[in-house]
Amino acid sequence: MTDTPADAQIPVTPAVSVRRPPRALPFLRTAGGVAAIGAKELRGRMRGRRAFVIVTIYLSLLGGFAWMVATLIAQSYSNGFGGSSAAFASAAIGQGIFAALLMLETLQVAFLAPSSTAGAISLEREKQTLDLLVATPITSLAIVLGKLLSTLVYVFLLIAASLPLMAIVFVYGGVGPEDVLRGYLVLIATAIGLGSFGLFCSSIVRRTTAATAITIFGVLTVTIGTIFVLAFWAAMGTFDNNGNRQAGPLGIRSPEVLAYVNPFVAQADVLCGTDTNLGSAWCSGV
Amino acid sequence: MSPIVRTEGLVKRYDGTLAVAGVDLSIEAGEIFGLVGPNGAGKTTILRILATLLSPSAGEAEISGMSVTGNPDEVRRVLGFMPDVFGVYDDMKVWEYLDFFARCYGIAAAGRRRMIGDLLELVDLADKRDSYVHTLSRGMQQRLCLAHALVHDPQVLLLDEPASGLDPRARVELRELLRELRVLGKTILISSHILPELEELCTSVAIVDRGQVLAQGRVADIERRLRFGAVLRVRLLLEGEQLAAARDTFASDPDVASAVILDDGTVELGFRGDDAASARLLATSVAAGLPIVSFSRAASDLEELFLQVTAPDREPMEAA
Repeated sequence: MTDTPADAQIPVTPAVSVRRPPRALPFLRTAGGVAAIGAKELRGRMRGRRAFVIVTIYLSLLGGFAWMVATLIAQSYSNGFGGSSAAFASAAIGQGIFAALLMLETLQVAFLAPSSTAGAISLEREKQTLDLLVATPITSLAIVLGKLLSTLVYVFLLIAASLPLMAIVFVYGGVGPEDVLRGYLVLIATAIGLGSFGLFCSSIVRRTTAATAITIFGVLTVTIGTIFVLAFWAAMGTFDNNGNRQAGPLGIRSPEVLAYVNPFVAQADVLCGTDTNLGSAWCSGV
Repeated sequence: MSPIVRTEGLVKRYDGTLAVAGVDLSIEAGEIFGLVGPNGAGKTTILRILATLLSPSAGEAEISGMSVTGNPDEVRRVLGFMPDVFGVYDDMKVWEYLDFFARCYGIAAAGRRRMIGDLLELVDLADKRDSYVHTLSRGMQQRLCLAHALVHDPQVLLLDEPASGLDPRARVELRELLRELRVLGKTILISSHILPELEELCTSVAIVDRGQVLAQGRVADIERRLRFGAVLRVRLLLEGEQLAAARDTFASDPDVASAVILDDGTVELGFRGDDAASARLLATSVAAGLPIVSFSRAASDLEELFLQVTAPDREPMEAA
């Protein structure tokens, strides 16, 4: 490098070490942006052994839980509770494992997906990297979608990794492939829905800590809060002489719409759709 | 030739505070243009408006003939922005960092690999290609951030305080790098507090204070236009009464407004004249037999200009 006086006439040459990219269609630009963000996020998340160690530990815990459930149900049948039919016992074990794994995975997805996305945008702000990103032609939609999908890919990986374990239920019977499929669709919908909620909190709240707290509060409201309200409504409700449910404490019907957003209610609906049902009285309540 | 960066009546208000109050800038292609001003003068706000990160409350800003508010996507393709405070992604390697931003600009995979190598060579980080970004020194991170602003080969570079927090060696390296970029045809708009470096580097400057451009143009032109004085420092091989007599000799010159003996024995002159007048003063002093060891300006031209036009009690001045 040589010293050049500021006012000197410098031959201006085209600088280019790269060819300027052609302008892409808006859709392709957004897709390119999503791919860029996704590649960056996944590169960081999947680097080294950490991600695979977590998957291994997760599957070990899930497998151990399934084994305990199977042992407990088998034990109860061997003690004579629940009938003497071996086929019925096997189906009950299958359904028990299915219910236990599905609810556990729903719990995991309901908290992991939103808490992972809760820092996606706010961390960029805190680390002061958001300006660098926003100053590029990448669209806001691409940033949001890229962040959401890259986070969800990891959650989906955990869900997919549990599939072989879930296949144990077919050995015992009582659960059809369509039940498993429905259960996993609910898991995916839960991940997308609550993950989007976490991302929303992350984009409107500046601090990650606050965004995560609001997100967790929201998830608790959707899961435990809605069940509590529904249970409260049911407890306060009255029945007429024919046994039909009447209006609740506020003089209106139970707000069933609350149940629609609760992933555990959705999974309970899936479980009630299995061949022999988990107790018809409980399922009729769902 | 039409300017590559132009602002007209640019205004930015934040909750009743006027951060930028009608700024007019005109920067020709190939210039290194310095924005000089005290903290809170509005430099960063101007740069962020030009970088499409802020919307102006009023006025217009254009880069390469495109409005930064009307056509921000296209503007982002022709400019590279380096903010004053920026973070790095902890979990990325140096090449991955540049690769990510190149993807954001839609640069194809085939071009990215070569471009990353070229840029790392340019900013002297080729040997750090596989290092994690967070392990780099502050100066290296500054250079990497500058490289990120170059991945799409922009026409205009907006650099907000790029030398802040750097040690002297890193500053020299950065200055050389910016000169090299000018040779490569870039137009550079740079804000800084380190005035002597800007003076050496910039082809033109704008002195900004309280959201207004107080003076704009080449440093020599502004100096001529404003006709402000200078502070001269003279060291003599004299002491005591002889030194006081020498001070009186200087004070008798019509261009000397004041003459003071400092604690270290240097005589400081408040001087009204231009370069020719200071040469005449030196010649007559030597001819009068004063044993002068050194005779120099107390501060750089730009520093003097800056202090002159941004003085708290300055007269209202017509923006150049």
